[in-house]
Amino acid sequence: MAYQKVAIVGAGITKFVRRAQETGKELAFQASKMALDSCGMTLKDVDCVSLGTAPDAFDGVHMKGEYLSDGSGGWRKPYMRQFVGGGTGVFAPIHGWLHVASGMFDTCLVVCSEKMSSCYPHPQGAFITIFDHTTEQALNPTLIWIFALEMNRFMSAYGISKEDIAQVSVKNKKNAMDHPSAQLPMDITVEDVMNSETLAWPVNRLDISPASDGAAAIVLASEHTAKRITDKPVWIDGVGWNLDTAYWATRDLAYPRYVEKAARMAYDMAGITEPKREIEIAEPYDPFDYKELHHMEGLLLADRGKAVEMTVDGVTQRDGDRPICPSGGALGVGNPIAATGLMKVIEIFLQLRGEAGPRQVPGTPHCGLAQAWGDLMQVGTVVVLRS
Amino acid sequence: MELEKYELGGTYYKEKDLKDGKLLSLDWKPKLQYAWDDGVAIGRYLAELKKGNIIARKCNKCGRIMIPPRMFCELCWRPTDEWVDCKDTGRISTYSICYVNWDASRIKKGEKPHLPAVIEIDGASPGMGIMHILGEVDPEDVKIGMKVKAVWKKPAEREGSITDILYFKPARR
Amino acid sequence: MGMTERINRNVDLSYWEGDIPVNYVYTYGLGLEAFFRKLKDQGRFLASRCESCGVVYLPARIFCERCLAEIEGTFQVPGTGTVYAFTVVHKNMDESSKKEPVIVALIDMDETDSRMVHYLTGVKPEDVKVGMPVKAVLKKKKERRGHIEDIVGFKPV
Repeated sequence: MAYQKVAIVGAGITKFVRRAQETGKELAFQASKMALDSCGMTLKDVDCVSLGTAPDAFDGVHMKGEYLSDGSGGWRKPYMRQFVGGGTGVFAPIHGWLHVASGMFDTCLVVCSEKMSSCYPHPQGAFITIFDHTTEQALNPTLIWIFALEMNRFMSAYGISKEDIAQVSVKNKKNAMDHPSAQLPMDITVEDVMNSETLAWPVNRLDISPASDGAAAIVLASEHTAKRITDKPVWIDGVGWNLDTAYWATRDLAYPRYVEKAARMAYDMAGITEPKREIEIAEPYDPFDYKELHHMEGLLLADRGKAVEMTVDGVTQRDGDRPICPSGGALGVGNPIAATGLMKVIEIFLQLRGEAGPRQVPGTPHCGLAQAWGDLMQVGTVVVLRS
Repeated sequence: MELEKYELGGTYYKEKDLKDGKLLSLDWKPKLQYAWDDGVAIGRYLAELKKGNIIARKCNKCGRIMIPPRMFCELCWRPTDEWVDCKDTGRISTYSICYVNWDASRIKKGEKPHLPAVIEIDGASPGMGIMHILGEVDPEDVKIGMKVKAVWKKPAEREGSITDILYFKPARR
Repeated sequence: MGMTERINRNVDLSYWEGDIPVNYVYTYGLGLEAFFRKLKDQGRFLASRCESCGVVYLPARIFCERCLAEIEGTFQVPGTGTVYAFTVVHKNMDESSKKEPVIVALIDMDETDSRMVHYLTGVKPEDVKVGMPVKAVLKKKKERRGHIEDIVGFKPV
């Protein structure tokens, strides 16, 4: 397949907070400006813009792509908005990658911005339309039902306990204490998680990531441009995305097949045949603690039902053999829906360049992966990065 | 480019700051109302629910009997072929015990937690689940794999809705 | 058999009613917060200039949309302008008729590169002309709450 090599050359991110004074536009600007500054570029050097942001119901703003275009550097530029739920943050670099890999553009600014705090009584309420309006909404469901149902099935299929799953939350929230954007960094124990308020069994409050406002941005460049801009480009060597059926109650909830298919697509492209060995560091999407395990298995980084053992054995800690979510993940840093995945991509970008500061894992890794997931728990998006 | 070298954007505020007028704000309550067409398949599904029957649709190519019924098979990418009546019993595929409402508020003191579940309906293909709620059972007694039966509203009270089934309860052996 | 069955009687058509029951509270953001505070407290208009490319924005913004430079600082502008375009609106959103037609205009604001959208007051529709100079009419200070309606409208100079 004939396409250009594409690298990430710069990144920017805001703090993730429960309520930000800034409008979504201003958050997008803050992240975009930092991304351009980080690689010494100006808006003139940007050929096109890819924007990711959640549906209008969050901020109560219609035509959100157009609304955010000024803060994302979209003025008079080729501009495209895309959205696949929580998968957006990793789909955005894929979308940007398509722009540059095709040879149509030399550089692309990829921006994701989210302002969930405008939604009352609670951002969770905006998700009510995730359920089918005719066959499901009449049952007065709430978003947490879907996760609780999936978590229960996952636990039951493999005999995994809540205590073991809680270790993911403990790890990630502790990792987040070293991330400057973090919303919920905390040093807690498994007991704290188990004692936290039960929202929908088996989900407790400390098993979940928060609603957040925040934005992130990265700059993509084609090979010859990337080498001019930086001496440490991080190459997007594999991309994959896949969507499963919208009839979510008919899916095997214990295993995310769509994540596997997206991962295989990315691995094939990157020439990876043994992901367990070749992927040295990963940031799978972790809006709930069990999801990190669920996704590790879908990404073929662990055998089915076995990801939890890696957690319990400390393999996934920053100083373990296979660091997972060294950033602190959605659980610790925050979950502004469209931007979270991009935060994870940025973490792998920094780790591969040895620039992750206090979060840097020992022995600078060369090959890493970021994955996100979303919609009605049906989309898997994966990027494989190499330095 | 360590993140630590940059001053990150995003300025936190407390909800109290809005109420106290420290920060200006604007309220909007939109009136977003919809009348969604059911379509042929769901129209029939709801009409059958009113009669106390759960109906599915079959694709003769892959053989799947699908609930909720659909007029085209999304795997074979062709129209489905026939209506199939299902039983109103099934097995619990997964369940939860929920203490919060759609707007993240907690259920009132003394109110029983909600019991959402995915139930595989007998008569449809294996793995064909629908979401519904459980009733007449204590949360501790619910098990994955448990056989359940629908409890219907009285015929005169049914409206042609998924709630014509009040809930699923444990089926006697 | 095709995917759709022809339905000949409309009593067979069914639908499901529902709504999206959320409401919103918008913060103004760093730029507009400054603009509306000044309008509320002192009845003045704040604009901001991008030092990189010279564009002047009203209301004040914290970044330039043309070159993505950060903008620091604001300055006052007179709150007068000229009519760029206007329309006379006779119907409400639900298509009922307004008691009195209202004039909505786009106004080129003096000393800025921006336009504001607002009502024209103190003038009959037939007397409005594109290019007409206008100035802002504000509510009394105690009635102002940091809202676009703190401006009643623009009237001919």
